[in-house]
Amino acid sequence: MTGRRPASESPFPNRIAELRERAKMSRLELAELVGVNSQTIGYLERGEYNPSLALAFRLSDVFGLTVEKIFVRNQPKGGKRR
Amino acid sequence: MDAQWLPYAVVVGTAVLAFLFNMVASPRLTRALNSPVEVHVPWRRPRIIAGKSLVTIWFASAALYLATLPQVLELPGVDLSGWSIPTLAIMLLASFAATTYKRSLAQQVEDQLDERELAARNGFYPLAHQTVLMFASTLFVILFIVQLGSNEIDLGTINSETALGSAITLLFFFWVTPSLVHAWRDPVPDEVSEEMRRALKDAKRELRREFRGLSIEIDAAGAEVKDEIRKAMGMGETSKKKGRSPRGLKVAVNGRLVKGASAAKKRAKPAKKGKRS
Repeated sequence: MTGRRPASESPFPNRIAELRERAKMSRLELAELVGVNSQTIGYLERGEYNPSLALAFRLSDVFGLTVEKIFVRNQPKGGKRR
Repeated sequence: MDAQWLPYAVVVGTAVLAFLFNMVASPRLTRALNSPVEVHVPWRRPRIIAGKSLVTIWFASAALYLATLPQVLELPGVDLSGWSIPTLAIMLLASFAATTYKRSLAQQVEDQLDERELAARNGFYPLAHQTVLMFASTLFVILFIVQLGSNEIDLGTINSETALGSAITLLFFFWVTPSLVHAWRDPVPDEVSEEMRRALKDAKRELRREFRGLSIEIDAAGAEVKDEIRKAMGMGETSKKKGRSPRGLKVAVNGRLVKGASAAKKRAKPAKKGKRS
């Protein structure tokens, strides 16, 4: 298990919590829809776990958004990326 | 000379057996005997304490059990032999608790885990085996150095009870370590379910709304009562109203004209003093 860190420090912060709240879904409901444990949704929302591509696409299907609109890429500190 | 390799053979043999047991037999055994015991404490801290204390208890009881074995710890005036069975029992209980701790991820079968849990579980095993191997190697090196330093210990005459006790401890150590790693590094999942949190939030909101409604009603009732009192006072004794000079009106005090009632009071004080003296 990785140590706890704020979601903002995650290299791939996401909007799962916001989208879930907007859809008025509980973690349990979302977890059932994407086929994971509800704790895993908590980990994802806190940015403590980065999902596999398969899970990311399942989440994008549930929210009806593209993966890029759910997961954001933080710019690395050393410089700009193309 | 061959007998000197006995501890090493025990350690390596146990390691291999435990590794095979963990990799092959453990999931099957878990599937058959998986305990429903689950620690359900809604707060984070007790869970951490529970996990860490479980690990501590395990190590303490294992160390004490090893110390009670013959030839291991011989101190003048100290007889630990009576502790042997209780500490072994505690160690076994702690092992059971660790392997069933929150349906410990380390002992779960693959089809019950999602991708994160699987990754976490698979992470426990290398770390656990690394820890055990480091521990066993260090112990072996220490024993070897001690043996080199003094010829008093003859490994060829190690008591069978001691060898058996050590082997049991090591075997349990290998079996339980992945669960102990999980218990120590407890990921602390969502302590309070989302539904419960939402229900609490709704209840709070409802209470606040009711309280606000009640306070508005009380204010309205209070205002009505005040109006009634005011009306009653106005209709009955209007002349008995406290006579306050309106602002700007000059009042005569000590033969001088001053502005307002408060100023008049201030001015009036020195005059009173003067009268007394």
